[in-house]
Amino acid sequence: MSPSPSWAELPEFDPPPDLWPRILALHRRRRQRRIAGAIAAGLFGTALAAYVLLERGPSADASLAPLQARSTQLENELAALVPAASRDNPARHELERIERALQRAYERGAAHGELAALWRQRNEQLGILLATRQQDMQVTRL
Amino acid sequence: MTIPRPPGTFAEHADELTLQRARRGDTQALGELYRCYGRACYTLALRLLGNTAAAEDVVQDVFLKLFDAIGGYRGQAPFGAWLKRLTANAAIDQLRAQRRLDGGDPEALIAAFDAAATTAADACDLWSVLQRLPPQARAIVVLHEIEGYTHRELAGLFGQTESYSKSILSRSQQRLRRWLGADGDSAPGSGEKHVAIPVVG
Repeated sequence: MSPSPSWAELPEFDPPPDLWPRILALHRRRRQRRIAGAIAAGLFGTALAAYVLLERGPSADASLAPLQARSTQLENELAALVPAASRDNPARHELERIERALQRAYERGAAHGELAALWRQRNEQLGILLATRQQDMQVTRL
Repeated sequence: MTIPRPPGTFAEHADELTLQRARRGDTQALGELYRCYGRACYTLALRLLGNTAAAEDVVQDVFLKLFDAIGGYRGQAPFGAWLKRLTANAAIDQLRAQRRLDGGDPEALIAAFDAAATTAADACDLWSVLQRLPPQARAIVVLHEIEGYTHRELAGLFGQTESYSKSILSRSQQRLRRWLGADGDSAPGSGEKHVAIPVVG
């Protein structure tokens, strides 16, 4: 009768000799990919930060200043010409729509380009209102 | 299979200095850990999976994970035991990915036993007959009988009940004894081989 084998007699196995070099090479490739990914992420972050600073920073706010000053000037000129009773007209409603859009744009932190476009629209609309009122006054005088 | 030599088991002692260096990402220290435990990892993976390529994949996955995970090893358990868990989990994950686990259907597993029985004629030693078992049954036998997992641990590992694990182990032991001729009903060609397989408790 042959001797009784037991679990302890199960053979053990050696991994192939090139397994560790393969693991090490794979690890190095992964590490290089991670480093490259981290550099790419860093560059992207820097570019994003630069974009945000350019779009939202003090210089961006400063570039809106002439548009805002022009807006105030037109408002004052219009206020001098338009009596309170005549303020309810379609052109005035359009102006209010633009102002609401501008308010919402500020609230959600819109980009400089969008804010500037809305300020320009507001100024154009004020200009239209002003020109219309000036024409009305000339007709009245005639 | 290789020429017998002093076993490289999970009970090997990893010195604290090597572990500290490995935690700092020293690849040479990780190489020393591989030399100490690589054989044990490979043997366990091969016993569980029965396939050399799959076992190599598991060892590769385990040591690649180790590069990242060793920083989280705080010495709460012996390093070898911790690494054994990593290896067993990786092997079970691979069985799961290959859909070689039987999804908890005992009938399917029993049917697999019966299918295996027809091909066991050439099995004549414990390693050969072990490989004839269905993958999940083999994994339960290896982890319980050789690696000392409890039925509670096996239940958690396979997402089954303890009684399921006990049932599979019992059936596996019966089948192994029969194939090895230990109960007098030897498989053709298996001759007089016997195995000391305890009755499941």
